[in-house]
Amino acid sequence: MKFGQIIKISYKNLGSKRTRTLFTVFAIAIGISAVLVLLSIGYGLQRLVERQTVGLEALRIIDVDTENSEVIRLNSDSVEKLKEISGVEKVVPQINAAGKLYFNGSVIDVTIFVADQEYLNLSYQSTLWGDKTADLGQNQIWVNSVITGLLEIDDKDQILDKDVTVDIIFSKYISDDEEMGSLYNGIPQKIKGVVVDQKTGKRVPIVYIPLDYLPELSDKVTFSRVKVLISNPDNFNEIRTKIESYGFKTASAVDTVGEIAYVFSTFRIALFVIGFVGVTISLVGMFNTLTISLMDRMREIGIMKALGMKNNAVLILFLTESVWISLFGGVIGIILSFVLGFLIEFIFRIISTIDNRPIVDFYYTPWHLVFYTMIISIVIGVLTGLYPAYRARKTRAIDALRYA
Amino acid sequence: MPKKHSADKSVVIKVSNIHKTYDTGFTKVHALRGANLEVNSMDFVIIFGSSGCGKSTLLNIILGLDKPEKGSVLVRGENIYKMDDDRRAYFRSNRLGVVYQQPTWIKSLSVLDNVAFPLYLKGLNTKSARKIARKRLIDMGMEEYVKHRPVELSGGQQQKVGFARAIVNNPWTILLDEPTGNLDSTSGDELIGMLRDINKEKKRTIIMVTHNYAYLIRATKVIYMKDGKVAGEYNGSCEIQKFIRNHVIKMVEPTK
Repeated sequence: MKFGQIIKISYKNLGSKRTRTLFTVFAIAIGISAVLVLLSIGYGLQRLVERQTVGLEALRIIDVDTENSEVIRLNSDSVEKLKEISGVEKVVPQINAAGKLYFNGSVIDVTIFVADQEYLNLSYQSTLWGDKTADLGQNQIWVNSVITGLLEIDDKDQILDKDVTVDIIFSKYISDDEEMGSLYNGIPQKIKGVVVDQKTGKRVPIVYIPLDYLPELSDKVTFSRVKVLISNPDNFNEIRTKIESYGFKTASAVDTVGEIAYVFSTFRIALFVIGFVGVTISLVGMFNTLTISLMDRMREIGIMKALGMKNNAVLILFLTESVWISLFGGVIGIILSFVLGFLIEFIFRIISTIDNRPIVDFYYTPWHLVFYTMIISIVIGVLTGLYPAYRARKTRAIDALRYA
Repeated sequence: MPKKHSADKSVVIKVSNIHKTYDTGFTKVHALRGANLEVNSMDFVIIFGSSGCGKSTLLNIILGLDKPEKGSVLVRGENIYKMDDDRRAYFRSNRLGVVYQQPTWIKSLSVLDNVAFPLYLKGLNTKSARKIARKRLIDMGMEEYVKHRPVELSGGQQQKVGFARAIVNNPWTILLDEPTGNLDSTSGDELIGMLRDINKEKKRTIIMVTHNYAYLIRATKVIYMKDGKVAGEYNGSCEIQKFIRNHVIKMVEPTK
C-alpha cells in the first residue's frame, strides 16, 4: 500500500468523528498556545532587558584595557596596532583622570573621561539634554546627570552653554610628566550636554572632555581604556581573540547579553514547565481519544487485515492519525498564540497610552520557536499515538472481527 | 462417508487434520477435531452444518486468519501457516476474496474506496484502483452509490458492495461466511446467482459457509460438518440431492 494512500485514509478517518476530533485538536491547540505565549513573553522580556541594558550598537563594541598592568601599556602605538586588525572600524582611546569641576561657586570632585568625541556615541548612554552627534568645539564638555543632580539643576537652560572650570589631575600611571598637572588646571569650559547616569553601582559624577582638544596628551600618556568598534558583529569573537593575543583585557556588552540570556534561559525553562502542564493534560485527552477510536474501529482493523493489510501498515495508519491531530493542534496553537500575543500587546499599549508611559514591547516569538513547536507537535503526536497504534498492529484479525 | 474428489480437476486447497481449540476462560471448546477437506479448481463448495459445528472456524483457518494447533492448510501446494504474518497478508490480498455475513467497512471511505481498498493493498495507485472498482460496481448495478458511505445502504446493497470488494482483484478463490444470513430471500437468491456466474463464467473457486439448505443444490460440492469434523462430502448434483433427501430434510423436519 502506498504511503500517500495511508495518509489520505488517516486524514479521512479524522473526519468520521468530526466533533471528537475537533475537541481533541482544540485541546492540543490550547496547550501548545499556552507554552508558546509563555515562552514568547520570556523571549520578549529578554529582548527588552537586553535593549534597555546595552542597545544593539553596543554589541559591536569591545572595551580594551590592561587592568593597570606595569608591563603592557595602552598608548598611541597600541591604538595603531588595534586599528590594523582586520574588521576593526574605529579605535577610540580614553583617559580616566580625577578632577574638580567649578560651577557658580560650587566645587565637585569628579571623574574625568578624556576621550575622542566618538566615545560619547559609543558609550551606550542615553542623552538627557543636548545633541550627542553635534561636533564639540574647543573647550566644550559633557557631564553626566549625577553632576546636575549634585548641583540641583532640573532645567537644561540652567546648565547648557554655561561656563565651568575644570582641573584635571593625572595619576602617575597615566603620565610621569610632572608638568602635566599644572598644564590642565583651571581650564574654562562650556557644558554642551548631559548624559543619563547608568545607575549601576556607585553614582559617580563624570565629565567628558574631547581628546581632540588636548592633542599633546596623545603622545605622552597611557590610555585607561580603548573602545574598539567592529564593522561586523559576526567577527566579534575572532577580533576579540586577536586583541587578547596582544596581552590586553577585553570586556563587552556581549558578556552582559550572555549573562542575561543565561538568566532568561532558566526563566524560560520554568515557563515551559508551567505551560507543559497544560500540554500534558491535552495529551492525556488525545491519548484517550485515540484509544476510544481504536476500540470503535476494532472490526475495521479486522477487515483491513483480513483483506491483506500488513501489520506495519496498520501501525502507520494509526500513527498518522495521531500525527494529524497533533499537527493540526500545533498549527492552530501557533495561530492562537499569535492572536493572544497581539491582544496582550494591544491591551498593554492602550494601558501605557492612558497612563502616558512609554510603550514597552515585551512579547516576541522568534521563528525558530515556531519551527521547534511544529517539530515538537509531530513528536508528541508520534509518542501519544504509539501505544494505540501498537495495539492496532498487534491485534489479530480474527479477534478484531469478533469484537462486538 | 467422505468421497474422493474427481481426478480431472487440480486440488487448489488441501486441509489436513486440522485441530482448533478455544479457551473461553471457563472451559475449552474443541471447535475442530481433525477436519480434512480438499477443494478443486473451479469448485463451488458449500460447507454446511448446524450452528457451532466449526464451519466458520474452518473458513477462517483456510483464510489464514486463525492458526490451528495441529494440521496444515495447503493453498496450491503452499502451506500458508509456514508463512510469516506479512507474507500471509500479501497472499490474502492477492489470492483470496472474502465476504462476511455482516459486512465490515472502513467507515470514513466511500463505497468506491472501500471496494478499491484491496487494490490499494496490492500497490495500485488510487486512480487505477478506483477505475477497476467502479467497473465492478457497475457490474453489480451499484454505480449510483459509488459516492455513498456503505452504511447508508440497505443490507442487500451492502452485501453486493462486499461481494464487489471480494472479487475486485480477481482472486483465485472467494470465501464467504453466511453471506445471505442477513438478507431476505430475494436478495439472497440474487447473491447466490452472482456466485454461480462468477464460478461458471469467470472460473473462480467458491467456498461458502451456510446453514441454509436451500442453497445446497447450487453447489458442485457439499461438505457436511458435525462436531468439528467433516461428516460427509458430496460431489455433483446427484449426490447432493441424495444428501438433501436423506439427511437435510430429516434435520429440518422437526422444526416444521
